[in-house]
Amino acid sequence: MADTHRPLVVAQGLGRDFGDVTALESLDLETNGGEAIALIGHNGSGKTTALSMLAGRLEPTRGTVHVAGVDVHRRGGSTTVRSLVSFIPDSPALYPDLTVADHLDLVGMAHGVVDAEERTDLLLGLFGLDERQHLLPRELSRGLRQKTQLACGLLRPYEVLILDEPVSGLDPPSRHALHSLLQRVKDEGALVVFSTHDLGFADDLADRIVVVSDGRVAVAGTRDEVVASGRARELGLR
Amino acid sequence: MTTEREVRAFVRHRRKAHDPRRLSDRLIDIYTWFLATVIAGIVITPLIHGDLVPHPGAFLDTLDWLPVLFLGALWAVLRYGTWQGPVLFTTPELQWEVASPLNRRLLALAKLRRASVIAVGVGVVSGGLVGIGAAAMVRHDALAMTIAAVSGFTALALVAMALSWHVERSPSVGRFVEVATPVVLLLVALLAVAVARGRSMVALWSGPWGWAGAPVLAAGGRSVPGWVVLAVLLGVAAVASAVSAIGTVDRISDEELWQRSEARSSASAALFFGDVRAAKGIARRGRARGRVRGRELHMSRVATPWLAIITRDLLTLRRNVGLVMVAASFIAAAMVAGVAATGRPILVAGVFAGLYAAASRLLETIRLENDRPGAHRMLPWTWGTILVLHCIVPVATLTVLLWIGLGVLGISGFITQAATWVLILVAPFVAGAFVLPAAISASRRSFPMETLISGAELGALSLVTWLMTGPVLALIVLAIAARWILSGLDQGITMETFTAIAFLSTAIGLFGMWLFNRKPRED
Repeated sequence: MADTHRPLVVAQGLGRDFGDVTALESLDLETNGGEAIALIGHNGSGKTTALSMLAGRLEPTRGTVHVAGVDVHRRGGSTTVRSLVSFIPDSPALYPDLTVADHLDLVGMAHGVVDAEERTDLLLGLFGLDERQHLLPRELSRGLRQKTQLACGLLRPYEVLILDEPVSGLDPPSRHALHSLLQRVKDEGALVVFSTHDLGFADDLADRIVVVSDGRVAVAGTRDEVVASGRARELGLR
Repeated sequence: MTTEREVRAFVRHRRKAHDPRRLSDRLIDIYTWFLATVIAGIVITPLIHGDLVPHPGAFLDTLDWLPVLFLGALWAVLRYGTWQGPVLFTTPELQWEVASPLNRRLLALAKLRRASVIAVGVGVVSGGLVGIGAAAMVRHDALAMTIAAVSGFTALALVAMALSWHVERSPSVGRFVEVATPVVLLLVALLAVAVARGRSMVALWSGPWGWAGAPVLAAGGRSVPGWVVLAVLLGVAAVASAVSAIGTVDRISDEELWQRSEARSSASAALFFGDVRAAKGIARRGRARGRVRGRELHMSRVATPWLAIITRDLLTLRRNVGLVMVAASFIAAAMVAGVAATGRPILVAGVFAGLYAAASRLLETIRLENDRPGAHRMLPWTWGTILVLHCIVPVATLTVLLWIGLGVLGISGFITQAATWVLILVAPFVAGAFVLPAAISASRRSFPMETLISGAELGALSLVTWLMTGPVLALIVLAIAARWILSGLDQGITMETFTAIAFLSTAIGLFGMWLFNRKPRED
């Protein structure tokens, strides 16, 4: 796992426009391994745009992102991102012809996971997918597809785990299981960055909370600092 | 209290009120049909009086193939019944009419009546065209031939429609049609062999598909013993199947009707946007009725990461053996064309088209990557690397199929031993030169139809470029390589052979670079 004393992800003045619309004006972030950062905001506030740029999936209009010291949007940066960052999108993107078990087999083999079988069994059990491992994505509900995507993202090795709305569509037991798992991931030294509307989920897990509103960072800090600022309440997030 | 008849009359009236077609639209329709009839008359009249065929008897022989054609068409209609069928309701109809306490039988009967009218229309038009055309060719009694063809075609179309209804209403009959398809294809092949060997009577007596052809041949002057019996049998079959369809018209579950309605609207939407692959997928899933083939098959475990793509691609081919069979059929057709190509350059195009089509069929996993953009991001490679890795199994599969085909040709004596060895040596490189350009085509999404609609001439040019990129790249490379491969083919492996291999390897490398540098579309 990463050295917890060096900044693992550094975003400076990160922003993105879509035509005339500014999705994210400017985000500054410096994070270390072993931390959990929550991005909170309403729909369309710029959370997914921010996470997509941190994961190297979206080119920024301005600013930079460095992961382990490498500019992810420079030539060759995508290789670093792919090896260090596991990004779990909010809408499951699964192969239509592969079963749940096939997806985990493919990810395990492609990433050279040594104890893939053991970890696969663990994740299948954790998300209650063991009885449904032979089903295709179209035979699964949205929640089960989301769980499959989460299992794939958690199976592969990573130093940075980025999750976009990980609890949307999950039932309470799975939310609880995911919460415990992310806590463990954090304790083992990985950086966890996630977006959510669920403040309860963020409260216990996140070391820092970034409240985003209309493409701007409204307030950022520890849970107590955010609560004390009153901005989250003003925005109706609490 | 409002009667059911009044409710249905009210719905009909409201629908009519919302029909945007005005009198001028209907007049345009009538004028279009009139124009089409006049043009058809202008085309057909000289045919009837002309001397088009030097040997009319020989042309009559081509009508011997009608049973083969009819069986194929009949089975296609039955397969259509496995996911659609003659009784189709739209979603609003299901929501507001079928779900209401109206007489279900009458609602379904109206749909069946509409399907029957279409079947009769198809029978009359196709039978009329064949009857008049055939009478002109064989210079025989046009009226008798037309009546025979129209009656035969119409009766068979009604049988097909009625049987398709039974397929639609009964899941077990639908499953039977799916399972029996390979057997029926074999029967089609056997009938074709029988006809080719001059045993057309076997085909004529083999079933309704043969009975429908017998009166046409008899009217054309061929001696067909018992054709009256066959015509009567066909008539009885048509009446019996129509009666049984009417008798069971309300025996279908709401679930079936909803599934078909949803499949129809999804397939129509996909076709509207030119996404033929999506429409085919909807039809395939509709036919499968929730069954997934090869669920019990798994990927072989591999320790080297990039082999994961190989084992994934092999899994897809194992679960879809039909893809390999189709590719093998294309290769077989290409080889037959190749053997017959001497002195007939047009068949060389057939060889190329067959091999390109075979390569294209094997690239299913690249198309699957396109079906779900973003899924590739769970893998540790760039989009370009994944595309290149997806080419390995298709190249290997195509090579093996080519080797088998060449082995058969060599053993049968169609090509010399020396030529066989040369072709076996170059086969992997030829396979690569077909697969990689086909992969360049397959790695794109469906053609954006809005370009065609909005872009005028540029849009049409874009479509042609979009369609032809892969085939043209392969054609250029293989046309150049073929000169070296074919020069002195019967002299065995020569310097020209190795020049061709070096050239093909370079081209494959360049195609690979092209694929490697491709960017994924926005997810």
